[in-house]
Amino acid sequence: MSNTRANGPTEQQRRRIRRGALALALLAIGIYVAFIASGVLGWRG
Amino acid sequence: MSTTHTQAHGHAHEHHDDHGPAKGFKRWLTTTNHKDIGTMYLVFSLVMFLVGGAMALVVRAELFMPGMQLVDPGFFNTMTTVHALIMVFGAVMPATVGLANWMIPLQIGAPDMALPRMNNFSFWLLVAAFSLLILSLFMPGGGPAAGWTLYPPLVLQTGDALPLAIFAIHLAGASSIMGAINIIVTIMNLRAPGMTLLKMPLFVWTWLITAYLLIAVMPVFAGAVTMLLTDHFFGTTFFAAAGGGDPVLYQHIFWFFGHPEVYIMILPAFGIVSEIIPTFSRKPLFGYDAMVYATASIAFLSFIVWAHHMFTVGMPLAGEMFFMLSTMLIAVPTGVKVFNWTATMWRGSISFEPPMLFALAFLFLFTIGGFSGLMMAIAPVDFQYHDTYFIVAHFHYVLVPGAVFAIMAGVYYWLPKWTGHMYDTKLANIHFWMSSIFVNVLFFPQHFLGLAGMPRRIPDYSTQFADWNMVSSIGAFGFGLSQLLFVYIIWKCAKGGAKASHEVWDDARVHGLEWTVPSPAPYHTFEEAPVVK
Repeated sequence: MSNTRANGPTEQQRRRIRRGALALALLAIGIYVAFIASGVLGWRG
Repeated sequence: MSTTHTQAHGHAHEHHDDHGPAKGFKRWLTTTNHKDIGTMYLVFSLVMFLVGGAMALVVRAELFMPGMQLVDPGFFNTMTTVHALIMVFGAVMPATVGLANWMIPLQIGAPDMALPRMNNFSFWLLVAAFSLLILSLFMPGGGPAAGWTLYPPLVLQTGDALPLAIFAIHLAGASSIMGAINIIVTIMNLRAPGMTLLKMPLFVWTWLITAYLLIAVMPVFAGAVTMLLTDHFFGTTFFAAAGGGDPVLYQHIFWFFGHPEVYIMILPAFGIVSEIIPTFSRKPLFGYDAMVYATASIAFLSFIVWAHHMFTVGMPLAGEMFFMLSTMLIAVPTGVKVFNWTATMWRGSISFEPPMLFALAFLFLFTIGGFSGLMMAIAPVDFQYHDTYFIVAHFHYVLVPGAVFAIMAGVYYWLPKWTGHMYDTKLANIHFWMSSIFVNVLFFPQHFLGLAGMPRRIPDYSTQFADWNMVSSIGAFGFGLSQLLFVYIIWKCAKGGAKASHEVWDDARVHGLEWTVPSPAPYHTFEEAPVVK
């Protein structure tokens, strides 16, 4: 027996988990890029 | 959660004893089980707590008497800096993430976290991050020594340790963000049927809000330190006035992250205390909805108060007024919480087991830290307190008898559920009293030192500060030694002891799903979702 669980979420739950995780990851990356970009624009200005 | 009952018990897998974990080191390296990963986070944070604590003892040993005794000033600065980075990112945050890993699936009736492989990766990334940070102490020029805030231009004078420390911070940030994503999608998608958002335990609620805070502010900190890196190595001048940049910009960006970071550490602590007080008062939590809304209000307000950390940089009067008043506003939802915890205990049948003792100490001592915070929110008064030992006393009251005591309360509350054994309550009571006495001996005199004008982050001081520094250092060593007892109690409990029941505490079943599964919690739980009424 591996140390992973036997029964996971349903296919519909998996889709929602993937979508949610992707949206949150993009949000985090977007904030990171936006802050650096605003720094670059301010610096050049 | 007083209304929660289950129709289907969550230990469907207890009959499958052959389905245990893999053996040996590989189990821990490759595990995707939330309980294993929770345990690893908790053990990691305990190790970091001891490492960061040892660094604090170097600081307090140097400050035991005026004059330079033990270490050179550069190393002293490195110790204050790395102590803080380790305690914030390596001890308190991973401890609450460990509790979240262990308890959120159990409390919402989920079989595991939603993204188990990412969960494993988040943990091991954190180990890599802190290995690098600690190794940075051995780089030419010494470790980072500009304070945990890493203010430029001072931090740019760091030697070869700077890129290593910044890389470590990026890795720790990525680990935190992945952990936060995992927690959000788990709570939003894997709750047991019938568990609506407003039926979730408070610990789950506080972690849901904390996870959103993490995703919002960790990238901001990562952006700030990336700009530090480009200023140092690629010729940009984001924070250098000579090239058209502004060092105060860094402070704004840092504290836009830094203030919510304080709540990232304290909101899960609020959640833990909100679980414990009802159990040991034998009453449902008073004002559950108000507690949820107060948590959300605190999180929102944490985004609009950051400049109270930098009143002395010089800002327009309107700015000072705004940040002063918005900071004071945080006292309202925090007051709601303190009132509701007190009202929960009112006419309750209270018993004083170790988790409740730590929760009560949290209630009193965190409130002291909150009140000194209110004092510093007053902008003209803050000019006197700024960068003195008063602020050191303030944030240590919030974080040590605040966040750390709540984590200890959580460990004493759930340890029998994790190990299946009851711990030695007599030793735990001794640990509580020693910790509570020494934490006050350690930090309360620092209020007097700060009000008398002793600056923070200095290895030497005027002789007028000698007496209270000596008292504070005695408290530090007493508090440090007390924690060895904590380690022993956990180790002893893990090895054996009286068998713990499902409920562990009287009538705990009505307070949450975790008390419906056996102790120790089986390796796989809730493979058949329980139904919450």
